[in-house]
Amino acid sequence: MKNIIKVERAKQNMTQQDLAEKIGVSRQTINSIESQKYIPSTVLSLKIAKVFNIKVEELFELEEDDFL
Amino acid sequence: MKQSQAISNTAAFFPNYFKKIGLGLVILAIALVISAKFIAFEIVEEQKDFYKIIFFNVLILGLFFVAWARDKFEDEMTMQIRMKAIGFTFMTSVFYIIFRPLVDLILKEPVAQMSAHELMMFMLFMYIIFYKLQKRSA
Repeated sequence: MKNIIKVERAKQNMTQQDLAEKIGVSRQTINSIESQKYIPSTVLSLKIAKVFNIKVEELFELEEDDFL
Repeated sequence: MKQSQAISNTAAFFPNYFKKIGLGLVILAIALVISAKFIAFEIVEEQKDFYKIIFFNVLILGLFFVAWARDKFEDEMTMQIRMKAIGFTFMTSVFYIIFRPLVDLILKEPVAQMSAHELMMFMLFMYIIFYKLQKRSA
């Protein structure tokens, strides 16, 4: 599952640590989400979307592999 | 229950400083064994089993503290990693129980029943190793 968290962070001049503190997770978790090593829960996804003020569907995108 | 509450309700975990306590207990257990072997104090044959149990219990307690102490920051990702580590530990333990007697046979050693202490030590070691490895690769 792809995501554009890094892009949105850059737009808002936000570090991984800043985002992590806003949503109550560790910086490592943010890094893992951005590098697609970890898929966040629904609640966390919604929190991230709310921070960036965009929809979850715009933030995350399913890939073909996700349907296998 | 809110997810943030669910994670903060990790009353099942020890505080972070228990990692140091656990490490101290492990070192103490190993030091006790080394000192018993090399420092001259006589252990009566009948008491050997008792001291062996003490050694294993201190070691297992130390490993348990290390394994079950909270990280500095626990979140949903660390919880998922913990669950995966527990799953791997369970699987490897099953294989360990089944195949260890075969190793004894191959090495032509007497096949003895595995003690609970040995199994618990193995499980705790495996859990700690799996958890650390998965956290590093996350």
